[in-house]
This record gives sequence, C-alpha cells and structure tokens, in this order.
Amino acid sequence: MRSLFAIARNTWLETIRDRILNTIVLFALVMIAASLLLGQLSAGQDIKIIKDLGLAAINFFGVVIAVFVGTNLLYRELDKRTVFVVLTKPVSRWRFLGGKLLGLLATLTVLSGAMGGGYLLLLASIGVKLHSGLYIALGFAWFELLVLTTLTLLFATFTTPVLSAVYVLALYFIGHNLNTFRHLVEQTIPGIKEALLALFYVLPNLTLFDIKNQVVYGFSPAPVQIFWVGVYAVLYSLALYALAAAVFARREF
Amino acid sequence: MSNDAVIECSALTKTYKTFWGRPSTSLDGLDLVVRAGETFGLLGPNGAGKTTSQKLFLGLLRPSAGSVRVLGQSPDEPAVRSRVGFLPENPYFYTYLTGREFLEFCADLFSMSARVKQERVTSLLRLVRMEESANLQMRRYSKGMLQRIGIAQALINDPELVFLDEPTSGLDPLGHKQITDIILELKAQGKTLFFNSHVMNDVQALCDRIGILHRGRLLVCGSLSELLMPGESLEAFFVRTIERAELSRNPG
Repeated sequence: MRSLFAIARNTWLETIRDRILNTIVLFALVMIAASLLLGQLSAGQDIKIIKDLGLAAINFFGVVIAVFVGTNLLYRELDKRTVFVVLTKPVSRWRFLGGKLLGLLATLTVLSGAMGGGYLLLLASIGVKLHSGLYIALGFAWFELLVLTTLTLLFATFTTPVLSAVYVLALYFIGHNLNTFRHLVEQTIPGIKEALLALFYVLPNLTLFDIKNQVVYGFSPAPVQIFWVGVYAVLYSLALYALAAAVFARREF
Repeated sequence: MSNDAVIECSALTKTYKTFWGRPSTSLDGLDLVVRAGETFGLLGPNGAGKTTSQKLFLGLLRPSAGSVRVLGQSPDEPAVRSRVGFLPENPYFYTYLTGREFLEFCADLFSMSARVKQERVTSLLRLVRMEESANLQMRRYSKGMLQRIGIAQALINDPELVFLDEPTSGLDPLGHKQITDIILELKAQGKTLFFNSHVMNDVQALCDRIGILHRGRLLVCGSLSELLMPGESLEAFFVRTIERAELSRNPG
C-alpha cells in the first residue's frame, strides 16, 4: 500500500505545485464573491440568486479542474516518460492508476473544500442561515466530481487530453439531461426501447447530484436519498476505475 | 534457463502495426543470453531495436513472438522488477520535486522503511555527488545532474541487474567522467549491467561483451577480443559490420 500512497502523494504535489490550478481556484472564489453583486441587482431574489450562483460556480470550477487536470495528468506521465520510472519498479499498473486517482481526488477535495468554505463564509457574512441542505449540496458536488474524475481517468488511458476532455464534457451534458433522455426512451418502439434503456442505465446519471433547486428554497434531501446517491457515486466510480485499470494493463509504452 | 543467465531471450520479436495496418518489425528473432556479473553493451544505429529490446526486458512492451526471461522470471512479475534498476534515455523526471524528494518517492515504490529509505537516499546522493543540490527542484538541474540523479534512482533498491539506456550521451567531459566512474564502481561491485549506447569509446572501455543490432536483427555477439581484429577500434568494427549488412541487403 505504501507505493499506492507514494504515487497519490506525488500526484497531489504535482497538482498543488501547478500555478494554473491556483489561478483557477482564485478565479472561482472571485466568481462566488461576484454572486453577491448579482444578488443585489435582483430585487427580492437576492439570497436565492447568491445561493444558486455560488453552488453553480463551485460545480462549474470543480468540473473544469477535474477535466483539465485529470486529462493532462496521465498524458504528462506518458509524454515525459516519467511513467517508465514508476512502471519499471515493483508497482502494478492498477496501483499506479489508483495512486493517480487518489492524488487527484485529494486535490479536488481540498479545492472543493476551499471553494465550499468560501461560499459558506460568504453566506454567513450576509446573515443567511446555513441549513443542512447547503452542506449536502456541497457533498453531492463532490460525489459528482468523483464520478467525473474517474471518467476522465478512463478516457486518459487510451486517448489524447483534448479528446478526453471532449468526451467527458459531452457525457457531463448528457448526464445532466438524462431525465429528458429517459422520457424520450419511453416513447420509442419496443426493441429499440430496451437497448436505449440499457444505455440510460450505463450513462452517468448526474441529475442525482444536482439538488441546487431544492436547496436554494431551503429543502434538504432525505437521509435515504443521501445514502443511495453516495452508493451510486462510489459504485459507478469503482466500475469506471476497474475499466480504466483493465485498459491501462493492456497498454504498451 | 542457463544457470547464471540473468537475461535470456529466444526468437524475441516485436512487431507494430503502422497507421495503415501494415506490420513493421522493430525486433526480429533476438536470441541472447546475458550472464550474472557481466557488462553487456547493445550497439546499433538509430532505430535498430535497442530501446525496444530493453523495454521488452523491462515489461514495458510485450513480445509479439518468442520468449524473454529476466532473473528467471517473466519481466511482467513485480518480483523481478524489485531486483532490477533502469535509467531511461534522456531522463526527464518530476521537475516539481527536489532530487531528494524524488529519491524518497522511488524508495517508497519499493516499500522501504523510513530508516532504510533515509540511509539509502543519503548514500546514493553521496555516490552520485549530488548532496549539495539534493534540495533543489529538478527543473533547475543540468543534463549531467539529471543523469546522475537518474542513476541514483536506478540504484535505490540495490539491484542485481541495471539497465542503462544511453547513459553518457550528450554529457560534457566532466559529467561524462562522473557517470563512467559510477558505472565502473557498479561493475566492481559485481552487478550485471546492460546498456545501450552510441558512444563507442565507453562501450569499448566498459563492456565485457557486445552485440550489434541492425534493422531489428542481431548481427554479431561476443567479447571484444573475439570480435575485433588486432589493433582495430570498436568504431571501425561497428561501421564495417553495418556496411557489410547493408551490402548483403542491397548487393547492387
């Protein structure tokens, strides 16, 4: 296990010492603060706008970091041939990939924590009562990042950073509109319907993580919903990781 | 497998598919045995298949045909890799790490205890004369310094077998001497060394046996005393061997 954590720590250092990442986080914090200004422009809706925009900014920048950093992380190892140094040591490929994933998740957790902390501080500073739904929404945003990061890693094992980013962003938009897709599937003819239904279950259902509309009106998801969303995120990510490890194990360098 | 064979390959072949799906053979039926304690040099022009061979020995590539055993096992086995060291060509390491952090990272990949790790890192930094630069980020290292830290990482596990891919190319005279001194010290310690090189003087000075690869095929293999005519330099022998192979390929 020591090698797994060594690779994770190295990945963490790589991302955290990257100045571009710091710039993105700074920009994200500025955007969250900017929601305060936008809130003041909308009479009577200010708190709702601030809550909504802040959560959307955290989600958006989280996705940007996961995709931008995730796609390059493996590519850089291959391009600079640093992967030779690691894989010629007694490190299995699944462990190497697991270390990269853990390191990237550690970075995303810290950055999400920083953005979420900034957001909650901002809300508290203008006198908004911090109800449990806000914390859960931030937790769900992290679950979504877990799925997207693992998805990014899967694409990074067999394609270029640009194509990986395109695929992940396409799946991001599909995943957030999966209910519309489901509705369309119900209206198709039998035979095709079953195939499309199977596709529905395979695609990442990111709508599960999006509870902004409930939260801004002060609602909190029920504990059973939190539990099943967590289970879905973890199991879906594990399946993606297993697939990524299988692809990576077949690669030659 | 022969008793003291450290590397043994038979009819080892690597074929790639080109963009148009046509096969391109990078290594064609390599038969080779490298014995314990030997310093073996694999020579060849660019694209001859030297790096492909090393990658097959290290499990970075898989054979298209034939077999390879390293230390008696398949190179895919992590147990083999715990007894092997590797210095890649033109090493480019994690530039955001310091030299010391990088060696500690490599030691962690072998799951060394904290005490052994510190002892090993300190002694290797001394061996490659990098103690003063150990806390500098590697982005500030010269090529010679990268090569020396590269050798240190290859030796972190005190390996029985060390692969060195072009260890002295592109170095200034001082850096060159430092690297060859380290290789001589490893040789004196009885380690098995396998290196690819274009620098004929180094190969002549350091190797017990050599092989010459050309277009994926091993043309000759043997000790320098067996292969060279009296008074002949390795460079002259190398050129003669390649030209003869090209002539037999295109007799016109």
